[in-house]
Parts: sequence; C-alpha cells; structure tokens
Amino acid sequence: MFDSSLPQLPTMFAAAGSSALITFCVYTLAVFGLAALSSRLLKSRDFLNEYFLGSRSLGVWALALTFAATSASGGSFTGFPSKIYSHGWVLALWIGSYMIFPICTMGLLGKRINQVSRKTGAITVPDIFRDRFQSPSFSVLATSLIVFFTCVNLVGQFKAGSMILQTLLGENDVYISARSIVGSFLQASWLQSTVDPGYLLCLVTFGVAVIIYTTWGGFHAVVWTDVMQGVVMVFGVIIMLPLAISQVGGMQNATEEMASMVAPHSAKIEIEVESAEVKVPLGTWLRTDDVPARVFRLAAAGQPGTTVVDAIEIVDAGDLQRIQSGKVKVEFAQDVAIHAIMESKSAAFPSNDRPGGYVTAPGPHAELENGFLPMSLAFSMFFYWAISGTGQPSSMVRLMAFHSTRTLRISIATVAVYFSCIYFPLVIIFCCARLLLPGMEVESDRIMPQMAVTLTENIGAGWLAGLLVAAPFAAVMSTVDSFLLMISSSVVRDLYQRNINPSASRKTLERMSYICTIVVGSGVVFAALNPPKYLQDLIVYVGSGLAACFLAPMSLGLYWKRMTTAGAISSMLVGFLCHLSLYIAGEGFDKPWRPFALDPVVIGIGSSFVAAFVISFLTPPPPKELVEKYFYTKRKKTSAPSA
Amino acid sequence: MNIPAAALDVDPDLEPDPLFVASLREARWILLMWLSCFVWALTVCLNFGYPDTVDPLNFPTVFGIPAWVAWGIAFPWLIANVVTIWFCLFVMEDADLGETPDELAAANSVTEAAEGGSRV
Repeated sequence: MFDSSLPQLPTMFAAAGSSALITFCVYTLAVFGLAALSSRLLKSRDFLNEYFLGSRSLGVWALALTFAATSASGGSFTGFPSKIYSHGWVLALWIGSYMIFPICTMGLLGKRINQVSRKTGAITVPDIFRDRFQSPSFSVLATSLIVFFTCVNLVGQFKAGSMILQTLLGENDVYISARSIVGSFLQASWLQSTVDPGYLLCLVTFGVAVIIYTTWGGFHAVVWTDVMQGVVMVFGVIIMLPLAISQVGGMQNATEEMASMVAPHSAKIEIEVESAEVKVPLGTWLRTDDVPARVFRLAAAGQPGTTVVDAIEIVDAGDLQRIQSGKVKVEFAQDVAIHAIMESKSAAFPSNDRPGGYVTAPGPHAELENGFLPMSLAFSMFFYWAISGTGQPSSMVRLMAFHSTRTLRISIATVAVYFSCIYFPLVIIFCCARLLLPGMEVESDRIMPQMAVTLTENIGAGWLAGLLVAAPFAAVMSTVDSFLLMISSSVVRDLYQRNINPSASRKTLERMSYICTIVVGSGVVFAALNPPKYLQDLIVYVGSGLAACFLAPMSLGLYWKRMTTAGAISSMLVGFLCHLSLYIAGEGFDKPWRPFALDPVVIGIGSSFVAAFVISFLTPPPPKELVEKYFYTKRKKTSAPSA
Repeated sequence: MNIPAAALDVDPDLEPDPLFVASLREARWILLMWLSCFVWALTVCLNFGYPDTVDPLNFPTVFGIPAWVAWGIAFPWLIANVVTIWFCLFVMEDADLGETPDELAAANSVTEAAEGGSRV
C-alpha cells in the first residue's frame, strides 16, 4: 500500500473534495432522472424501435448534441489533451480536418441512410446491410465486427472514466475510506499486485452507473443525457479557455515561452526509499543534492528498498525556474534518495535539446526521429478524421434517428459551431498547460482533470473544479452509453430477433436487451482492470478499423446501384484484414506498420473500396427489384395541360 | 455511379428517387469542400509549419498563435464554418424521408425473402 507521507495520485483535491463529490452526485442524479423519464416512454411505444432508435423522433438539438457528444469521446477530453501537452501546437494540424468534420460525417450519408432505414424498418447498421444486400450472413459479419471493435474501444473509455473520477474525488474523506476498504479486500485476492484500489473503486462506480441508466432508459435516455453532457462539455471548455490564457500571462507570452522550451529527457535513476515497506508512486518528484539541483519525476512506481526506475528529467530552463520560484506547485519526496543517474537522454526529435519543437511541426517525440507528425502522416490524419468519421456505425445510428431533413440541415450547422468551440480551444488550453504543469508526460492521460483542478485552485475557486471535471466525465459517459446500446442492439436485433427467433415477444426482447447491456458492460469493466497505456492510440485504432470495414459497403450501398452482395462482403472483409494486418505487422497500437508512410486507415479504406468495385463488377448485377426499391420511385403522373 | 435506368432494365413507370439524386449531388459538393480544406490546410502547414530551425526570439505569431497555425488551420476553419452553414441553410434540399414499417413485419421481411418468398 502507498504511504501517506508520499505525494499521492490522484492529487491535490483536498479543498475542493466535498464540492466535487456533491457536483458528481447531482450530475449522476440528473442522469438517472433522465433515464427514468425515458423508461416511461418505452412503455407506450414499439419496444425495439423506441429502445434502440428513439422512434426516429430526434429534433435539432437532440440530434446535434447527441451526435457531437458521441463523437467527442473520452479521447477528446483525455487522450487529445494528453497529446497536445506532449507534442504542442502541431496537434492543431493533427485535428485540422475537424473544420470539415460535421458536414462530411452527417451530410455525406445522412439523408440517404435515414431514408433507406425507414424504407426497410432497419434500426441498426447491420439491419440496413441485411435488407439492402438481402444477406443475413452479411448482417452477422457486420454485427461481429461492431461488437469486436466497440468492446475494445469501451475498455479504453472505462479506463478514462475511472481516471477522471479518481481525480474528481481526489482526497475526499468518503472516497479515501472506501478506497482503504477496497485495498484491504484486494490484499486478500489475486488482484493485489496489479490493480490500484482507487482505480478499481472508480471503475466499478463508473461502470455500474452507466450500465444502469443505459439499460433502464435505452436510446432516449442516452440521447437526453448526451444533450446534457454536450452542454456540460462546451461550458467546461469555454470556462477553462480564459482561465488558462490569463494564468500564463496571455497567448503571446505562452507561445514565446513554448518556442524556447526543451522537451524533458527520458531517464533511468537508482533510488532508495528509507522505509523498506513503502512503494514510491508513479509521478513522485525527486531532486538531487547538487547545486543547481537536477529535477526528476518518476514515470513508474518504485519498489521498496533500492531500485532502478524510469523517470523524466526536467531540463528546460523555464520549467526549472518556475519550479524553483514556486510559481508551479511541486512537492518533492523527502524520504526517497537518488543514488545514481544511470541515463538521461534527450528526445529523439528535436535532437540535442534544440528548442522550438512545441511550436512547430512535426512536434517533439521521445522515440521517433521524424517527430510526432511527419508530413506523410499529416496527409493521413486530415483524411482520417473527416472521412473515416463518416464510416463510424455509432454516427450512422444517430443519422437513422432524426425526424426530418430540416432537422439534419440545422443540426449540421449547429455541430460545426459546437466543434469549433471545443477542439481549437482545447489546443490552446493544453498548450498553456505546458507552462502551468511541468512533468505531466509521466501521466499525460490525466492532464485534463489535473488542469481543471490547477486552474480553479489558482483563482481560489476549487469548487469549480468539480464542474470542469464533469466535462470530460460527460464525454466519456456519452460515448460509453451509446456504444453499450449499439452492442446490445446488434446482438438482440441482428443476431437474436432476425436470425434465431423472428417472432420473439416484446417481453423476451426486453429481457434480452437488458441482459445483453448488463453482460457486455460488466465484461468490459472486468477487461478494463488492466487497460492499455495510451487511450488515444486505442481510439484511433478502433475508429480507423471501423471506417475500414463500414465506410465502403455503406456509402456504395447507398449510392451505387451496381454494388453486389459479394462486393459488399468482400469490401468489409478486405478492409478489416488490411487494417488489422498493418497493426499486427507493426509494434502495437501506437506504432502500426505504415507502408509508403501512409496510415493504416488510408490503406484500409482504399483497399476496401477497390475490393467493392472489383468484386461487384466480377459478379452478376443485383436483382432488378432490389435496385428499383432503393434507387427509384413511382413516376408522378403529370396532368394534361388545360386548353 | 449513376447508371441510366435503361441499363438496368428498370420499369418505365419508375423514375430515379429524387432524394437519392439530391443526396448524390450534395455528396459531390461536400467532397469538394473537403478537398478544398485539405489542399489549403496542408499547403500552408507543410510549407510554413515544418521549418529546419526555430529562432525563439523572432517566432512569427498572429494573436499569440503560431502564424502557420493561424493561416493554415484557424483561418480556413472559420471559412469552413461559414461555408458549412451557408450550404446547410441554402443549398441542401428538404425531402420526404418516408414512413417506417411495423417493427415485427420489418424483422420478418428478409427472413421470408431468404426462405423463398417474393417480398424484398
């Protein structure tokens, strides 16, 4: 267990602890209230149509905010800020295609997908494939891929939810007591050495809350909470932006300081802990006795006794000056001594401690000599967000739910303004974070909640932190609930009702939907006990994989009459296999193989389209009735002109 | 992509679905908008955002934002928003989306077709 004398994580929330807990409780109660209201609606309507698609009745605000909130996942408020902090202004280019994201993702397929889903009564994406291509097996393939990718994504989202909740609750007394109880329980179990009790407690709390309200209220609960969460998110960003700019002395000053900033070194140091029974937590600050002192922050937990640990060394003169002058609050561990510095090497890019990396492309990187975003990858990322965003099944489901084309048009305009208020300001806020919170590279996924705490404590309004941290929490929740529902709808509708028991009663479908949501949610909580390190890389993998599988078959299915069933199935399989093989051939989620310097998403989507065209032309054209049903309508009789 | 009705031997009493035709036309405009943003942003950023060396004392900014970000991302973002709003409000057409069939009937439709029924 951690010793209380060491600076612990989650950090520094004592003053704001109670108000944060109250904020969280009020927020959770509101979510459950919306679920209760939504559950009442379920009783009076077609169960599946209402539970999974809200009876296709979404208006402007509901469509705009549920679309935006589902797209802006935990990645937008944890992984994306983490990358901005680590690599600087180049993230504006990385996220640049969000300038055209709403019109692409909603406008390219919106009207057609809604029309086709109404024509067939489809309520899920596999439903549309099944009807459009008259192939139950294609629907099962699509369902399997949705379940696979979405479950992988959910593991990352649950991790983000737990981390944010940990920071939100911080040093609250109730939370500390509960954490101790969980810690005692863990000591007696096989999870003792692998799971932090605080993480587990928050993971289970977050998981149970989301699973209950999603199961209880269905699609309308998810949409209404998305609307609330969408509002919380944009207000969080709008409040943080002026606070961040003012606390770094203005934008001009922040950029000038960043222009001369040097990335921290990766280091290995030998440390000794005075007490033989104490682990040194990740994130602990240490310094040498030299003059001037060298400053380190642990990038991994240190074992009791004498041990060699990974760390970063702060070498930027500005950071060191801010730490020494007390402008930045840093608490150095008193009972841990540095025995030896085994290694301290500068970032691979810019090499030799050259300044300027944080204000120019390709951005600094600890290991890659080409930097974070080489030119070739900049091409891929511009393609990735806007084009692959169009191929996300979770977005397609929302496009099946609006009630008129006018709703769609105004929603696209609304989402365009909404995303502009979120993404570019986030780049500014977390560039400013480099000046306010040095050394966060060791736990950069926590930068968003930590920044919220720091900004509010600096102005003596710790209570506001609870409100700001609710923004990323809302982002995670709104994605998780939508994904949970998408999985259960795929399983219940596409596997069970349409393949196993087409005449299942309402009661059976209800029971199946509830059980499926609970089982999937619980399974993901279990999987998230040991989540991957980098959330944003996981999200990029899932997003690009789904696009490689779904974009070509859906867009060509809606717009190309000659598309055949074989063409659609092979397009999905080729996209999936190409994308997966590039990740397998690479070195994990964060380093896939990039032939010709192209990201797997470009190659996956490209090969999927090629397969669709080639196989469709090699196979007989689709039946005439099918083409007539989806692409033609009865000619309107023109009355003879009067004399 | 638009195959003439005659090529697929379609019933002469039918005409191309107006919503399909309008959606296809709008999709082409949207792809053109994406391409314009792509060309602008990458041309500016690749030319001015990847310098070999940086002089921290004379680093060009616009309102405190690095100049290459301001002209390569922020400015086209603003323009893209204006064009998106104009396109949504004045170019995209409204159309009837149709009615939704009964839930159970929809669930059974393909099963019947797969079992030899004529319904599509």
